[in-house]
Amino acid sequence: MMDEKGQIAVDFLLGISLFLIALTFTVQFIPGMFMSGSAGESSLDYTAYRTATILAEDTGWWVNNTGSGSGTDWEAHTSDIKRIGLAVDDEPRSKLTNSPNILSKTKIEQFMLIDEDGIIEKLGLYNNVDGTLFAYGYNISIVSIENNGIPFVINGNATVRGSTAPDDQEIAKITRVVLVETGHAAVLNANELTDTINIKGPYEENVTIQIRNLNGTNPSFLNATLENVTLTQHSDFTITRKTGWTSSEVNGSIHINDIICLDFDHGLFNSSNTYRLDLSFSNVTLDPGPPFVSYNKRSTPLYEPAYMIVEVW
Amino acid sequence: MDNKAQLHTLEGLAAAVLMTLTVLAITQSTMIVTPQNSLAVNVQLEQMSSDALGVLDMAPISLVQYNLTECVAGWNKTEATYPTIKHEKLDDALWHLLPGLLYNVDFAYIENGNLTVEKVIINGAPGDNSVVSRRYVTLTNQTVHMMDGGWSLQDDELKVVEVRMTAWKV
Amino acid sequence: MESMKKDTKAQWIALSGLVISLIIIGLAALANQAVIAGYHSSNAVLEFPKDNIRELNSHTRDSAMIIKDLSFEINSTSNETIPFIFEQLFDNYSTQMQALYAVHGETVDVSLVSINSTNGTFGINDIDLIFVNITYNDGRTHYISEPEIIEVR
Repeated sequence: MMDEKGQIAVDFLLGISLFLIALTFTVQFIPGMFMSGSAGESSLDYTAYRTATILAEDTGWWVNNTGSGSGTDWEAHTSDIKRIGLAVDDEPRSKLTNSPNILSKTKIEQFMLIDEDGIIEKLGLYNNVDGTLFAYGYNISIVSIENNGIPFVINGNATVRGSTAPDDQEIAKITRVVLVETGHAAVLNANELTDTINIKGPYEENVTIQIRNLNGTNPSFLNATLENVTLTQHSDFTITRKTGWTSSEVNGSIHINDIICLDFDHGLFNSSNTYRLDLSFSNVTLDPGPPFVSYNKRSTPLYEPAYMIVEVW
Repeated sequence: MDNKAQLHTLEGLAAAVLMTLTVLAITQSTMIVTPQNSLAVNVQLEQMSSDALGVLDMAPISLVQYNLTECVAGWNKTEATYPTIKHEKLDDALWHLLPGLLYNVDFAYIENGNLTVEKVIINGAPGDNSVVSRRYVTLTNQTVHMMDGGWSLQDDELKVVEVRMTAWKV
Repeated sequence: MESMKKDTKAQWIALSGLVISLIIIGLAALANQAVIAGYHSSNAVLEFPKDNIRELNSHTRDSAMIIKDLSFEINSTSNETIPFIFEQLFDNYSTQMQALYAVHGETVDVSLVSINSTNGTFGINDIDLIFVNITYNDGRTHYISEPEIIEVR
C-alpha cells in the first residue's frame, strides 16, 4: 500500500532543488548581479586603481605588426596601440623619460577619439569569468580644480569618457591630482620684454603671455593693440594677475610682485601672417626694440591643475 | 480531478516568489549600504596627497609662482605654531590642490649629522586613518638666496630636505 | 478547483519559503558583519612603496642636474677638477638620502658609477650622461636599478 503523504515530501524536494539550482546558476553566471554576495573580494577597487595609475603615470606604448617601429607616441599610431597612457613624453623613442602626473594634450585628445572596444581592451576594463569577458561600466573624466570640477574642453571635446555612473550599484572611484596641458604660453621677464611682440599665426589655441617681475612705482596696464587696432578687454583678451595660486582680474593698476597673464583670443591670429602686438603700460619702461620678442620662440606648454577621476562599476 | 499527485503549484509559486524577493532585497540593499572599506579610503588619500606634493614639485614655471623647491627654500626657519604661524606659500598651494583635506607638514633634514624635524604647517591633531606622504627637495645656497629663505648654507653645500605631509579627511 | 481551496495541507510549503528566506537574511547579516571585500587589494597597494621608489629615482635625477650646475660653480673658484667635485657632492647627497630614508626603516643606496662626456673633456656642455646605481629595500620590497642612466645636458 502506497503512503500518499510521502508524495508531498518528493514534491517539496523537487521544488526546492529546482529553486536552489536556478539560484546558484544565476549567481554564478551573472557577475555583478549578486556581486557582494558571491565574489567576496570585489575586483572593482583595483581595476579603478590600476586604470588611474596607468593613465596618470604611464606614457603608453605602440609597436607595429612587423616589430620594426615602437615608441611612446601612441597618439600618432592609433592602429598599433599596445598601452594607453596620458603622461607627457618629449622623447618618444626611449622608455627612459619619466614625468608622471603631467598629462599631454595630444594624448588626451586621441584618448577621447579611441573607439569604445579599444578603451575597454587596452585598459583592461573587463572581468574575466571562466573565459568570458564582461565589460565593466566606467567613467573617466579630467576636471579642473580651479573651475569647480568642470571638465576641460580640448578640441571641442569635453574630457569625459564612458557613461554616467549609476547610483544603485557599487562604484569604485579613484581621484588623481594631475597637471593638464591646456595650451601654450610665453613666460617673459619684464626686463626682456619689448614693447612689441611678434606672433606668427595661425593659432588654434589662445595666445597667452605671462609677464613676471614688472618694476616701477604704481604701474598700471593701459591697452593692447594688434596691428595698430586697439583690442577690447573681455571680448578680444583678458588680463589677470596671479598671486600665489589666486588669480584676479586686472582693472588698470597692478602690483609689482604679481604675475600678469594676458590671454588673447585665437580668432585674432587665424591667418599665417606675423602679427604685431603692442602692449602699453604706464610707469613701466620696456625695451623699445628691435629686436622684438617672438612669441613662437618663447612659448612653452601651459598646464593647469586638475583631477583625473576614474569610476568603475 | 485527482490533485494528490500534482505539485502544489500555487503554494510553491508563492514560496519561490517570497525567496527571490528576499534575495533581491538583500543584495540590493547591501550594495548601497556596503561602505567603501577604510583601507580603500586610505589608498585614495595616500594617492591624492602624494600626487599633490609631486605635482607641486614638478610644476612648470608657467603654472605656479613657486614650486616645491622654491617654497622650501623660501622658508624663514620659524617653526609653526597653531593657528597663527605657518608656511604661507606652501599652505596656499596645498590648500588649492587638496580641498576638503587637512594636513600637517614637517621638514626633516640632516644637520651636523643629526636628523632635525621641524613643523611648518599645523592644522590640528591628525584624525583617524591619516596617511603620510613624502617628497624630497635639494637646496643650494643659490636657491635659498633667490627666495630670501632663512637657511644658512655654504656656497658648496647641498641640503636634502624631506617634505613630510600628514593628511587626513575631516 | 473547489477541492484545491479546501486542501490546506500544502500551506507548509509556503511556510518553508518564509523559513528559507529568514535563513538567507541571517546569512546575509553574517556576511555583512565581516566586511573584508577589497581588503587584500587595498592592503597590497598600501604596502607596496611605489611612490617612495619613484621619488628616489626622480629626485636623484633632479639632484644630478643641481649637482652638475653646482660643480661648475665651485670649479670656477677652486682648482679641483669637475669629476672630483661632482663625486664629492654626489657622495654627500647619497649620505643625506640614506639617513633620511633610514628614518622610515628603508635602506637605500645611491652611488655614482661614472660621468660620461661626449668628447672626453668635462666642459659645461660636454657632460651628457651620468650612470648611477640605485637600490631600495624596505624589508618586503627590493628594488635595484643598476645602472640608472641620467641625462643631464
